[in-house]
Amino acid sequence: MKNITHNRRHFLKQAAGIALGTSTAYTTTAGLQLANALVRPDDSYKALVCIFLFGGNDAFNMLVPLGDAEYAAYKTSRQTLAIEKDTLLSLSNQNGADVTLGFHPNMSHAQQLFNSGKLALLTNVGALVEPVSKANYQGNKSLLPPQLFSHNDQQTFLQSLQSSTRRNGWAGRAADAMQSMNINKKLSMNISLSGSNIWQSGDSVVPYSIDSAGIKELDNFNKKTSDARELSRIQIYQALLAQQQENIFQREYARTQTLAWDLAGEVKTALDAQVPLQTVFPTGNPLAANLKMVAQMLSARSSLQVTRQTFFIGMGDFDTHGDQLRRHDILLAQLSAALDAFYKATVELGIADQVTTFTTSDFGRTLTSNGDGTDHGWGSHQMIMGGAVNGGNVYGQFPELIIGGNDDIGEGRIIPTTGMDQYAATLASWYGLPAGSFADVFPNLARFNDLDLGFFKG
Amino acid sequence: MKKRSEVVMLGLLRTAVISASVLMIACGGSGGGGGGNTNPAGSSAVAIASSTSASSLAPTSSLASIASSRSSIASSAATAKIPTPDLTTDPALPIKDSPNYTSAKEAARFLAQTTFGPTAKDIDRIVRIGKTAWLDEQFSKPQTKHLLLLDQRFEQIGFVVQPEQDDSDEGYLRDLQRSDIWWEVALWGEDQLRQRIAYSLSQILVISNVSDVLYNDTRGIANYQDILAQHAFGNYRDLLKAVTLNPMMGEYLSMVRNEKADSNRNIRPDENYARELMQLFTIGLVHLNLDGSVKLDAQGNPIPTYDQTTVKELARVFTGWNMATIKNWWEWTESGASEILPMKSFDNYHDFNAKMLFGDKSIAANKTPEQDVDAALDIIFAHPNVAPFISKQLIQRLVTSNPSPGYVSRVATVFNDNGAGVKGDMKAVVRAIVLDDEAQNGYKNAPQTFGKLREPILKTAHLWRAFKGTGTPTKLENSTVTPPRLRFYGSGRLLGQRPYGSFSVFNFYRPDYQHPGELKNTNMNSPEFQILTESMIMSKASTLSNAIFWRDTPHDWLEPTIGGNWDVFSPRLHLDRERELSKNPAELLDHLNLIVMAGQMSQPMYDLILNHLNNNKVDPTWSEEGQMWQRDTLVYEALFLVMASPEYAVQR
Repeated sequence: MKNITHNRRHFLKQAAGIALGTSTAYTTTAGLQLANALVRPDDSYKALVCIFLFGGNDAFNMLVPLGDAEYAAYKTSRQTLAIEKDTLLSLSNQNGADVTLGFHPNMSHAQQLFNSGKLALLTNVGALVEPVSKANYQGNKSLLPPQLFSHNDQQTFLQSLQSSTRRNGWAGRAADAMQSMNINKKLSMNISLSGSNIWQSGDSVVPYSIDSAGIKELDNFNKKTSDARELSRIQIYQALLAQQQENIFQREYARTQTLAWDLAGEVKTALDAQVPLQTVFPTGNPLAANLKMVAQMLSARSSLQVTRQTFFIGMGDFDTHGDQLRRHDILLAQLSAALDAFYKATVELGIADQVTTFTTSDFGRTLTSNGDGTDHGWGSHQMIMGGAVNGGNVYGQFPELIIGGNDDIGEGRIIPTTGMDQYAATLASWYGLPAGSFADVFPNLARFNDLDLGFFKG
Repeated sequence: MKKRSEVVMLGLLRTAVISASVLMIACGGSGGGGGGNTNPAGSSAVAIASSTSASSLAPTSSLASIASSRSSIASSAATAKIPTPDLTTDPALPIKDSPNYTSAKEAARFLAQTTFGPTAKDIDRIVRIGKTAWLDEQFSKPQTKHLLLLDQRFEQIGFVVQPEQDDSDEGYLRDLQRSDIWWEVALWGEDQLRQRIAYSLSQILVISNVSDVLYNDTRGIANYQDILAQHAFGNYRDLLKAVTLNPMMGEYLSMVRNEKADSNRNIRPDENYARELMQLFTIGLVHLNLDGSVKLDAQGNPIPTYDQTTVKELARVFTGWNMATIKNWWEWTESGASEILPMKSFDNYHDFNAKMLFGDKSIAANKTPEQDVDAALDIIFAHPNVAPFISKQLIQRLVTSNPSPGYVSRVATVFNDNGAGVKGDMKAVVRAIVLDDEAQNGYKNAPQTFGKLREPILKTAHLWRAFKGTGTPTKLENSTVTPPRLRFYGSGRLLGQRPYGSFSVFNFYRPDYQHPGELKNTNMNSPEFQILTESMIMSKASTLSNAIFWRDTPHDWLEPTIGGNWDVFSPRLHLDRERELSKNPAELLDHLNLIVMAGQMSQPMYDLILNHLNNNKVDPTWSEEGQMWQRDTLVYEALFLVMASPEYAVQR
């Protein structure tokens, strides 16, 4: 199953003919992107939407090889957790040619998105500081992310790409460099539907959190009231929030409350002014509810005066140590249906080419079973969706699904063959990160060869 | 326990569906207007088995005796009073500048660290007997048992306490009852210190029914709470065993039904509990010094406490455990007793080979499954990390987010040896934490950095304890009207925090979370800020204002009967004393300053609010009803401005 990556482009080879006078490969990549930005039409809006599958998605059951030998190896490794071959949803690329992988049976929406060229797959990507071979891993000769297999450490690494200080995230650092592109200086470039996260936190940029239930104002403190008494207590509360505070926690609380109150009014006004979305989102699906809120924010992009935005959504419960088949089936069905509705919403808004949605997760899971579930692994597969995505293609290298195989460091924990820095840098390159920022935003990138994985249309 | 597909994600679904505020909102004293919540009870799914109570588990006793225990409600040893609101008149508290005022302030501070919030009566008690005697008094209070109260409540509302089978329509209603009990115990239980420590432990030894893994294990969760509360004044090593063999933890971190390796089926032991027991419940990821700081190797790098090999070895220890009520390993049970009773071992599924932990700590072959558990817990408990790792987190839950190394070191020393050679004595640890000089004087010695952001649950409990929130009758589908309930299950969606409702085993927030901005830039831990997002701070402020404004008036709409499946109804307050003081706004503000802020209000804040109150004094030219409106509004505004202030936001 190696080298099914015939669609992978070597971006640098293409870019080689364009002289930008920069010295390092990654600055060249982004420099090209910056050059593109200069000729873009007026509505140059772009958004990156990160769906973080918390707990560690078992992508080895999300995407299964269909070739006889490869499926047999998968079945042998997975035992009772294996998905039956005849239920897998076959994939074909944009030209109608068969791809030798199948989606989980509950992911028909994702299958259709792939087959229609709106969704790409990146296989065996994960947390890496540098490329790792099995021999080097076993000989303790590789630089590794800290605390492999630990949930929060791997979440932090994938979002921050930092091994030691772990101060901030790559979307936060990107926003530090790009925040000036947005006319709106008060609203953060980075918006979270799932609360605090390191991915969107930079040195100066802090994510702004919203809720799928909508923007909340402060009851009994309505700034638009005509009641004099209410207005007077609003003034007092504002004065209270503006007072100098000696204690650092008190200062931070006052800052947060003040900003939240200001922005609630501004964002709510912008949202209320938009035409309601017609796209129907699935109900009983928290991810879909969050994506619907993102779509509403996208519709207000002009009112909010923003040109670049990232959105962070967490989807939980992927830590399927037990009862995996039942639980994972439901999660993948929700993920697939929510992606479909969101893509349609971006089409409705006329910005399908300007919004790229991608998945990531703590880690992959073990190929081996613990009886009715799987444990913490390493490499995993991810999805990238959007009109700008060169969909219908599989990028990266698909691993051998063999216990004790060349990619397995034990119990079917698979060494990633693509690093998160590469995945993220490709996304950031499309997003328009300035050339000079890549070394800072992606600290491990220089240790890898393919600096753009090519899953965007050229 | 919940293998049925229809249950899945219901908790999340419900969160999404119930989005309208159900807090009563009224304007200008005109009355009327309860927020209507139509909770989709029809879609609720699956109830869970129940059993009679066996809530008091002594983990050091033999499992056989535990497993056979089947105490009924009547025979329970608990003698704690049923928690009910105390609406009797409060003692007069020392007024500003009077001789006892300083000790009253100290008492109020102490109560914020040791209870669900100061009350006038508790402040008065500590002023009279002192902190140490008050602690001893608390240590001797009988434990209020959640499971016992829950079972009584099931009987009261006509639910079968221990149904033969899961009932897919009752599950959500059952969990509402459990939540009601949790709040009623927190607000009105007399064993305040024990319950506060249990609440802290519930944020370290985390289980949650947000995901469907524990969805509907209502009695099991109440029992788990009782286990934490029991060992809150016991020994941490005993607590570890009780938690390890508890079926709720067994389900949550998948130790239940964990089998030894079987090469024919190509399976190996589940690593989940083994990993999280070390990472979160005992030693953490890296070696620590006694003062909680990270040990570094010669190259200046942290030193991992364990590797994947130890995880795998420990996973083999935790094999062969299943529900206590089954006879054969493969059986599925819906018996409620299985939620309560410690898991039982099945030799055929246990790995009897020798194990090696941490490279050099061996467990001999052929021990029984329980002996294996004890041996492993002994090895882990002996690790020098346990004392600083747990002590520091308890300090963070009770006192301050950034304890000095000396403070951690002093408490960890007591954790390691209570003075009588015993490690893990929780009473000694609690004493050491709350009587430490830093707990008592940190706000004076390090005013810029001492303290912690008050978490939403504690803030809300504080309001309802200090100002005597009372519950609301609920009307069930069969038209039965219940006695008053404290209904605040919806705190998760309104405040971002619900007891036993964290997003994962990593709790609502991490102990080392550093909020981006000034806090991170100055290397300050700020766990509670992790859930203080912009959307939540707005929701919290609104929830607070709705919990204060018009929550105590003479109008009859204050305490309507709410639907039995509502997830929130803000309690009625009792502000008689505050209304009385409102004639003199300075006295009202002094009173709030003491009971809410332990007298720590800054002069600028005091002046600002007092000025507003003085400008809005009751106008005697208004009608009687108008004056009443003015007076009530004054009280609500004063209370809200204090409790929504940045100064109160931080427990110092």
